[in-house]
Amino acid sequence: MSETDEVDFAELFEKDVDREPASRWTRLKRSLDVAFLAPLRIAIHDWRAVVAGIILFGYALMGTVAVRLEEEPSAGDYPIMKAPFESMNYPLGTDLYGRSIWGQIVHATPDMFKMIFAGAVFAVSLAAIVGLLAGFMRDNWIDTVLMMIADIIITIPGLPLIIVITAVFQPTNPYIVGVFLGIDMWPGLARTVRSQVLSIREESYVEASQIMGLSVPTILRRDVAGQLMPYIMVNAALTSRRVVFESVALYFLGVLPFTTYNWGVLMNLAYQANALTREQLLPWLVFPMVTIILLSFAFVLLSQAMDAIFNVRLRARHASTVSEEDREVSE
Amino acid sequence: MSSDPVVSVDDVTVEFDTSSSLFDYFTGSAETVRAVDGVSLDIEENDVVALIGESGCGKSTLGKTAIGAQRPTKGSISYRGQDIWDARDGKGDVSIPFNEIRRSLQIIHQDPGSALNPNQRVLTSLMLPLKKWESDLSYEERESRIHTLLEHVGMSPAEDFVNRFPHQLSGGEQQRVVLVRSLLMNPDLVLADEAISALDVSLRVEMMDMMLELQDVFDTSYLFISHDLSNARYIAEKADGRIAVMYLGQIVEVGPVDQIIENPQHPYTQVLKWATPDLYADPQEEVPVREVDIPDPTNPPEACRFHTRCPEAREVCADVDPEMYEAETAHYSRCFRTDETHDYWESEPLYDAVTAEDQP
Amino acid sequence: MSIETEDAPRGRGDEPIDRGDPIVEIRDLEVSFDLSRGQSKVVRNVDMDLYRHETLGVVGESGSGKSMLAMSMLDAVVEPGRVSGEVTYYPRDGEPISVLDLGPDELRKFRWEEVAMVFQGAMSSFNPVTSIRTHFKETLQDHDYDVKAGMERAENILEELYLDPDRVMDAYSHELSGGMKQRALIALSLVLEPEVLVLDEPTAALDLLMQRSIVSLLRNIQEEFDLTMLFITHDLPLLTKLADRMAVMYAFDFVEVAGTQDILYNASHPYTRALLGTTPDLETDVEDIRKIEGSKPDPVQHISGCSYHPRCPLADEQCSATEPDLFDVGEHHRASCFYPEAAQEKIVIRNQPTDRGGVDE
Repeated sequence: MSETDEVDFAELFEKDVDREPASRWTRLKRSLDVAFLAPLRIAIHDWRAVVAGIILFGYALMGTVAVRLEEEPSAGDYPIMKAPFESMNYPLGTDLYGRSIWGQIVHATPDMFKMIFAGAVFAVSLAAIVGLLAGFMRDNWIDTVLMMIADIIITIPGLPLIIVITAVFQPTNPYIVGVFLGIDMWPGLARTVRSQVLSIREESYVEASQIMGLSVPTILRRDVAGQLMPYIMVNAALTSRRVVFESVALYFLGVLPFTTYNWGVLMNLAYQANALTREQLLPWLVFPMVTIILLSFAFVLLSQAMDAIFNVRLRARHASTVSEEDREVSE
Repeated sequence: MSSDPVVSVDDVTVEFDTSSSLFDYFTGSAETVRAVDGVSLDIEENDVVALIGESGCGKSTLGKTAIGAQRPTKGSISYRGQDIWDARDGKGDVSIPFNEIRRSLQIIHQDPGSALNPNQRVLTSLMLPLKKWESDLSYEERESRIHTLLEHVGMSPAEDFVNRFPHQLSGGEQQRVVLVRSLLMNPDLVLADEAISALDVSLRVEMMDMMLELQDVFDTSYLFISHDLSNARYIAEKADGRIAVMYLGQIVEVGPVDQIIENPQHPYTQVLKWATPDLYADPQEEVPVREVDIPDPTNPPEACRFHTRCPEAREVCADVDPEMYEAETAHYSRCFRTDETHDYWESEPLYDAVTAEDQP
Repeated sequence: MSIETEDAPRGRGDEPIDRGDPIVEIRDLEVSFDLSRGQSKVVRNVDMDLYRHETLGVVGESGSGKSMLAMSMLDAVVEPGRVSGEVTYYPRDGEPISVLDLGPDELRKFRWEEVAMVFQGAMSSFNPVTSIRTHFKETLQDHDYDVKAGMERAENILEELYLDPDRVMDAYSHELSGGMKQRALIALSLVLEPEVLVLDEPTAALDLLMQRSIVSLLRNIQEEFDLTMLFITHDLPLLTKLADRMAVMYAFDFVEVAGTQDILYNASHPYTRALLGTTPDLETDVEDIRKIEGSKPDPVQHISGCSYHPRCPLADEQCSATEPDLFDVGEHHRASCFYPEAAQEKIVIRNQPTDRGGVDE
């Protein structure tokens, strides 16, 4: 660089400007605001997030507090086949063996949540990582190998696969059950994540980052994953719902061993005892079903709310440290 | 100070496969598009080269090749004498590391709306490259630079703008942020790929003026791609630069801007000039080209590529591929007509005189 | 310097145009959207007259409201947009039609049979999975037209547009180039023989040569089919050889309406003059091209007084307090400015020739 250039350049940057640099505290506040507080505010304003939040909180209470308050049900606790809403001891009635249905539902909750957590986290994380790598390294050997593995698993019919795996490994730990259920779910999601990544890759800002020389991990993290977050979070909620249904289905079919309380187990037992024809046993079938449906509904609502929460326009609007002027072009 | 041009494009060809499936390979319909075919161009320090042409001419591909974002199939591309891809692959004696090259060649995209990460605030988008390339600066110093540059391009007070997300900026503001981002790294060449096409008419002149003003400050060259001859002329003339005209992968004419505009040698340049709408000039009604549609780039015409549409085409044009002939100093045209002594003048015209009725 | 005008506005060729009666009258048109940050008025109380057989060019930048104005003429503004005002259409014979009051069936008949529109972005106007022929057939069938006669007419129109009917009819939209798609779209809009053709940036995504050709083609078909055309664009130079009259839109309303020659040589509104002065071309000295200060207005924030006053070099207190109407500044020439003569004197357009003969060197 010649003499004159340096003068111009330096001149520009050494200009005396009346400005206070932002303090560390301000910067931290800003990051928190955009990353946590704004999403929180969006959630509060969105009825779906509120309803889902309430329902899930209710279940969380059931799984933590109620579990301790309620005794673990065993046969002969109470008179058999009592109707619901009669006594506080068995608010939802009793089953064929005199066990409180409410008690059984409550005691199934912690394991259920462990399963959901493990399954959703496993499936979604694996799918996200695989999809991200495959999509970004398109047409590379990495992409081909990863997608081949995914395709193989997709092709194998899900239910028989799980049946075989669980028959072989006989899992009793709910976390492990969750992971096994996740095995069936991650490949489909990985493929769709890959498609998303393929289109995000074509955006100009990704090319700009590459030309600016930013490292591949940085680009993946900031440019690609950032755009993927809404999609991933929505799918996390939907995967949770699938884990609920699939585990219930497997327990109902008797494929998974009856070692823990599970709503599907309850439904199985009720069904075996001909609850469909014996009116007094209907609560045993119906209440677990309602529990499942309500939880599933909460997850669906949550998935829709996630879409809103991760929407950058809404986040900007609800962030207090971002400019008031929300100039959206309407044409 | 080296006398090497900042970027030297040497006989570069860039080919793309248009086949997308194995089936295409087997049926033999795998086609190769030569987006850029044997192009040579030098870009000097503080230069402005406006690259014009219609869609399919390869200007975008050439531009991206020039800044090292696209690997050429044939030929070489050098930065200050150092072959860019050799530096990248670590081949031979590397005098300038690829890192330095990467930093010195930047881009401004056409659509500012998609050139900024929508999930990041403006400050973050500008901090990232600065953090990478000027890591010895403190956070405050980096922030100060960003603020200064933003205010210099008219986004004042900068505090207001840095915390916004891209969707909260107007198109003109977004493009200014992109301009600032490209210059923060103090590059030697910036590719402006239709950088003003997406802006409102009332903002274009301002943007071009800003680019030129910052050129003096940062000592950058611009490779300005445009489909609009008027805009290309504006920026090239203000910077005393050159215009290069592309057609179907080749540069058909290149030279100082006033030469190209006032004394275009190549018939295609003349056609572009005719097609450029002018407020006050009298229109020449006849279409000076035989066919309005551009030929299929996967199957360009033989010999002179323009001969199928050229009103001045003669038999030799369909047989022999013209070279670059010098019309004036530094003004070259890929047309036999530029050479007064060429056989062209003895050859028979290929087509009858073009009449108004033939014209679409 | 004002030029003697004859009784009719000077059209594109400098001759007075043969102007018929009004075919579309727009009065007090308003289009607004409710955004969370306020009400966004993208068309503000606009009056407009469109005369039979003329080509009216509407010039405006993005966000000036011009597209919404066009959509209102077909009552096609999408929810949640709200339209108010009057749009009156005068058919060849019969009673005037109030477009905004039409029911769905009447609207269907009105659209495409009386007023047709070519939208921005021909690329996505076609259904990618049906052939062009199907598009024509379905249009004819939906409007209960004779399909055989209609298809014959369609093929004629395609030929007028220099398209090979055999090739184009059986093709799918992705098989056609941008220019061909746009021409096919124009043909589709003409197949039901409408009286009025509205075109919204029809040449925006096309190459220079194709742009120029389509402008010529439009001139031809206007004569051939006796059309009235409304051509919307941000590219002023494109209109100079096509439009009889031009209407300049700024801040969601018209600021100047005049014959094309009057706009080019006698522009009386500071914005029009600034626009003319900021358009680079091949002749004007680059030093004489001026940028426009300021930024375009926000549809949510209402500017008091003249909408252009924040950017106008001539603005004074009257301009910031009172909103000017479209005053007469010449015959068939209106501008919404309090100081049109000052505008002509002080805002010099250097690339404008001083006489009609040639550029002043």
